[in-house]
Formats: sequence, C-alpha cells, structure tokens
Amino acid sequence: MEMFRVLLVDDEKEFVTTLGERLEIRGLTVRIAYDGPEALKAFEEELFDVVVLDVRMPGVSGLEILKRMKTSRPEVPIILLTGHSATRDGIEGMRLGAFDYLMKPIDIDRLLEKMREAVQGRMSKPAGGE
Amino acid sequence: MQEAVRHDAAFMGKITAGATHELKNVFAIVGESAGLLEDLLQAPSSRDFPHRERFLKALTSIRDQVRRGTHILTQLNRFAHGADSDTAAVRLSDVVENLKALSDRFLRQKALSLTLSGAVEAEEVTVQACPVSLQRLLFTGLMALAQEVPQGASLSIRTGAEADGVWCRLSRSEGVLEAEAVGAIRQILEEEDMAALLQALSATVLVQGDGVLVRLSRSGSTGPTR
Repeated sequence: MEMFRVLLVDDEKEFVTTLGERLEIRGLTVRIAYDGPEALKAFEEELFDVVVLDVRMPGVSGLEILKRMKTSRPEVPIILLTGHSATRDGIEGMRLGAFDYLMKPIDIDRLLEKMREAVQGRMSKPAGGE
Repeated sequence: MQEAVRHDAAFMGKITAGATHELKNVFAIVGESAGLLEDLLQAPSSRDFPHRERFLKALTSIRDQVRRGTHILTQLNRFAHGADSDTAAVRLSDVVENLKALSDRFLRQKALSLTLSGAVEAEEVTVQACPVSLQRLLFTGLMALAQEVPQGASLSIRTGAEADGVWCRLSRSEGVLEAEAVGAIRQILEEEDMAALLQALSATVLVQGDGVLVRLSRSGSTGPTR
C-alpha cells in the first residue's frame, strides 16, 4: 500500500473524484481541488508528497498554478495531465519545473509509477536541493 | 470563394478540435468509472458477488472501447488541427497514421486491412504542405485503391525520402493490380479537382500495377486547395 499524500487538481469533477477514489483504494491520502485558487489554497494549507495537475483549466491555467507552486515550494514534485493536443503544454510545464506529464485518459498504474518516481526522486535529493 | 471555403474549413477544424477534446474528457470519466468498479470487484469482500466474472468481462470490454474511442478522437483532433494553418512542416509518418485511423471505417466496409510498413515509423520524413490538402490527396488515393481490390485484401502504406522530396506508396500487400483497376484509379486521380490539388501540393501521382505512388517536393505546397 502506498502512503503518499497527493493533491489532485482538475476541473472535470467526475473524473478527478473517481480517480481520487481509486487512489484511496490503493492507500493514498487524497485531497481534491477543482480549480486554480482552490488548488493554491490547499497547497498552502497542507504538505503534499506530490501534486497531479491538469494543464487546461478555466480561469487560472495549470501552467500558472505550476509556476506559483514551484515558487512557493519548489521541492514538491508536480505531474501534469494534458489532453491529446497539449503535448506542448507538457513540455513547457517540464521547462517550468514539472516532474513529468501524462496524457489523458491516464492509466492508473502508470500514474502510480510516475508518482513513486517523483517521490523517490525528491527523497534522494540532498536537503535544500532542487 | 476560395478564401471563404478556407475560412469554413478552419471553422470546422476549430469546432471539431474542441468537440474531440470534450469527448476525450467523457471517455476519461467512463474509463475511470469502469476502473473504479473493477477495483471494487477485485476487493476480497466482493469475491462472493454472484455476477463478478460477468461484470469484470463487461468492464474489460468498456475499457477496450474507451481505448479505441480515445485513439480515434486523438487522430480526429490532429486532423482537425490540420486546418489551423495553410502550410506547415508535416511529418509523413503522422499523416499516414492519421490516415489509417480515420479511414478504418471505410476500409472495414470491404473487410480490407491496412498496415504501415516499418519504414513509416523509422523515418522522420517531413514535407512543407497544407495538412488538409495532403490528407485529402492520400485519402482519395487510398479510397481509389480500396475500390479496385478484392474484398478482404490487405493494403499497405510506405513512406520514404529521396533527393529532392518525399514519397508515399499505397499498394496491395500481395499481388499486383490488374490493368483495368490501374485505369480506374488513374481516372479518379486525374479528375479536375485532383489536378488542382496536385498542383497546389507540388505533388505527382503515378499509378501502376504495384499501386499508387505519390511524390512531393520538400519545399512543398503553395497553399490550400479545398
């Protein structure tokens, strides 16, 4: 069983709620945010091992949220979710400090594997290192 | 008139691209919901559920169809985005992959199969062209070929580069086309609108017993023709 604390951010409520439930079945502690301001509030209130963030959202874009999160706590790995036409967003996101990006619809095992890599990568970095 | 048609195509492309994006979200929700049901049915407490195996089988089918639908939508989205620009650096391997996905329904009506040869994946062949015009040329060639081969035949697409351009060959995987079939395909590809299309793409088409050979110069097209 996984023990990560994960923040899921996506405006597609049914998608992110169901994904959250599936991750909880696998032992993760999940908090969900449906838009940028809610995500940033959660990010300030709690410590997360990893953030899974949709790139395309109304209002504050995923890339803008990424930038703000990286400014606030650069050590927290962020995995982006992109649509089929948003590969460029994924690449731009990695340039801005995202750990990686996955295309929707996602395979949950692949997402878990990516989360593990992200969390392990964070733990293996020296204290204070990016 | 030409300009108005171009704007119409761009409009259709924009609307289609937006709709495919939304539909992909729908598939994502269906896929996750099916996944959640699978997770619950796999739990030890569900082992005695009387229809467990039938549910799991149905959920596998849903997952397969989600994958299939998502693939089609991805290709349709790429096709729709082809109308974004008059001329772009187009990767031939992407064009033929797109062609394969979007022509599947038409080919299935005659039980035809289509394979992309290894060279397609291996080569990073690009051409400067109007994406929609190029797709229309290849689609017309493929449909003309499909019309002239027997039910259940296998077709193939190969692409490659040469000194001053790129080529794409649409052919039967086994056997050659009969003279009558060659003539019928030529007739389709020599129609007036196709001549204009070839000219705009700086392309040539050669139809012989071994299939349809499309050649494009690297510098490519002068603009769209729709």
